[in-house]
Amino acid sequence: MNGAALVAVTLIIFAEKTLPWPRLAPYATAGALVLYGALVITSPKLLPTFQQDGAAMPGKMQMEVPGSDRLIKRR
Amino acid sequence: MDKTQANLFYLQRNLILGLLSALVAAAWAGLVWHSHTTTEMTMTHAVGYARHFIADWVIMMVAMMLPTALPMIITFHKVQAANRQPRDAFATTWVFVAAYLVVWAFAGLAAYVGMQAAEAAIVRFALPPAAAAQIGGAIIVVAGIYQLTPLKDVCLSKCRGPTDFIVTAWDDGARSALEMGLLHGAYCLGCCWLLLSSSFRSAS
Repeated sequence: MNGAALVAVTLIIFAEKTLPWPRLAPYATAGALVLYGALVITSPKLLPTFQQDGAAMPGKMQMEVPGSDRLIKRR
Repeated sequence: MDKTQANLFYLQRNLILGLLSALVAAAWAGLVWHSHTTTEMTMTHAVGYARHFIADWVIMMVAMMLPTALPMIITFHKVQAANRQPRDAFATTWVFVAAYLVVWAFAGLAAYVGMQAAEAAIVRFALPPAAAAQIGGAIIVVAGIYQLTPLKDVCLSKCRGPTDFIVTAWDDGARSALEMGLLHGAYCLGCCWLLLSSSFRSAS
């Protein structure tokens, strides 16, 4: 997993739940997500894990996940 | 609450905070430790992969969602301690935390099924990488729109107000703690599931 993305999402969720302005974080996040999603649709290369050869696609199940090395060792 | 009970309450609260912080720190350490490891997994060990996926998902949720639930957990303990014996309050608080995480574990199961379905669709329709990435972009747009829906608003308002939630949902006993943990987990899930899905899609 992309650690920076996880940290960013955690901070967004924390801001949504704790900031004194209840609508600020959700609305700002909404705008950012719609904009970013639209950009990815028009230019897929903007997706951090995008690779032209498809190596990062779910079909290949390439993931960086905790514990995955244990699975490999067992095999 | 007399002085002895007050001391016990503060001791428990600090213990809960310390243990939760240690759990969250360990989960983040696990995520960071493995973030440099890229592993290609095939479907030859589907059951093993599913097990690892769920386990990794729960670690992610401990790292990401547990810190955001801390105010609720601490408030829950405070109300429990005020209404029950402090020793019971400690135990029921962990029942609440466990139930909260069980909801996220089941969400991980759903995420796994969704990911398998997406993979099967990509293979079946032989989608090029660009098209698959565009679908990911569309999911991110939907996640953005969901942020503005009444459902998100309701769930977030329940997550933002620990006292209101506990006052309206509180009942005595461990069973009630379990139900409240599940309920709070469900509200959190309703609040964040698409945000997490989109981040998972773009980060993995």
